[in-house]
Amino acid sequence: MLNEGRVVTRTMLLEEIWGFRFDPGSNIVESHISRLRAKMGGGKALIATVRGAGYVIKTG
Amino acid sequence: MSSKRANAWFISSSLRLSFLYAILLGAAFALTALIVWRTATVMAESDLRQRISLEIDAIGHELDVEGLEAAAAAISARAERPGAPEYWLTDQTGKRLVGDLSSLEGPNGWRTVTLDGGMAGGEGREDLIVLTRTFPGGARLSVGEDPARARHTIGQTIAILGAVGVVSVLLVLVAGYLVTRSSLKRLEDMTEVLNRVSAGDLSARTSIRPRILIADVDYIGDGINQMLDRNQRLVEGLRQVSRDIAHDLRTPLSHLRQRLESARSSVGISKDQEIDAAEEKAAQIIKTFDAILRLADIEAGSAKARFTHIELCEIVDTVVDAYNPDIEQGGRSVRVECEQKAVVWGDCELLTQALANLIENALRHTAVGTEISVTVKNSSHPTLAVADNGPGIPLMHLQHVKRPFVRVDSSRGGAGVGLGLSITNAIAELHSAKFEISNLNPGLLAQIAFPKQAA
Repeated sequence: MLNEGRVVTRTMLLEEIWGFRFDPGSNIVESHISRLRAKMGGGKALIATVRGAGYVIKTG
Repeated sequence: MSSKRANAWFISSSLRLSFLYAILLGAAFALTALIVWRTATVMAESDLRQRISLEIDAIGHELDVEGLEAAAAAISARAERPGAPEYWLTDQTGKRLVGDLSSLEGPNGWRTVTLDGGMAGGEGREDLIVLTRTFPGGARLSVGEDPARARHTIGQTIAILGAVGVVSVLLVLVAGYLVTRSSLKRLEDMTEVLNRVSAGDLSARTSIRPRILIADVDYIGDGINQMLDRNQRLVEGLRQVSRDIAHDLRTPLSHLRQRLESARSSVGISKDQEIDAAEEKAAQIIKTFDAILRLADIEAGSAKARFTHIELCEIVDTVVDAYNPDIEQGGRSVRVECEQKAVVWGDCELLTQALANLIENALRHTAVGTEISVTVKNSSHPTLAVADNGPGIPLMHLQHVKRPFVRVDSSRGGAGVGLGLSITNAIAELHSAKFEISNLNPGLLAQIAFPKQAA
């Protein structure tokens, strides 16, 4: 939860998690996010999509 | 042009060499002739003296055994033989017994007598080498011989040597001329080819001569041809890529414009939708450009400086972990077979991308239910392979798929930019690895075989 409240871009996620310094054609970030959301049990509110920018973790 | 050609002759190294060689050869022949002449003259004279000496010994013996009369008769007979020496025999009173050259008379021992004509042979001046001896009993004998005969033979030898020398020198000059003419022709040929290439005709090549006639200049010609082949390939590759880039970007750009035009005429939510669509198109174009830049970057080879030891299985773990949800959501499955400790010398980031591209390809071009397998084999030549049991690639396209912008199934290719395999290929080349794509019937195998790794 280090980045709580801050927008994390797709590129940042790719680099931080897998060390991808290129843009994969597939939606791997989106797939992982949707999995996370599913695991957290419909907590769509927790990870919010910021259109055109990335994702943000919301609390409360 | 003619002065240029004359200059070419003048500065031609082969002609200079042949002149030098001709001069040296001529000098060698002259020196040989001089030595032969000196040696032969000395030898001939000593030979002559020995013969005269033996002759007098033999006559002395005869005189001893058979007396003066018989010896005189024998000398007369000897004198008649062709090529015989001159004799002058006198008795103890000094009276002539044999011979007609009184000038041979003289003190005992060796000397040279010059005759002025008047000889039986009718020749002009002659030098005779003469030996005179007084025998016991008072008879005196002089025997003289003309060394000119021997000198004549020596002269002939020298003349033959001279003739051979002149012919050799001429042959060297002719050979030099021919070689120079031939190499000048080759050089002119090359110059012309280079001029034609400068003028834009990339297909110009120097002619290849049969192996048996090959000369050092031809190796330059070969080198030039190889360079031109490579240049032509590069330039044509460049042209092809530029054409492909133009072609590949034209379509999305015109789509983008259409979206923007219709956005202008739309209102409300549909306006937003059109703008979104336009944004997506622009993103796709940027993606293509990024991939082109990426490819150029990899081909430039700067990543080589970052090479370290890379454990292939770690890369496989990362990439498969990243794609796992995508693969499963797409209704496909992935199997990993990893032989540990397969270490290669390379760049982690690039190898990750190479594998990601192969997996994406397997995802994109196969049907639901396909099994994708990622394999690492650890041997002296480590390999990284991605296989699927999908439809494979038609044989006619197989050899082209590594080229930039080549997409086999254009109907479904919309998602990719057509550079994935080109990038993977460039990454493999950077690692001196072999990237091969083959049909498994059913399925496709894409394999990167690394070179033998240093321990």
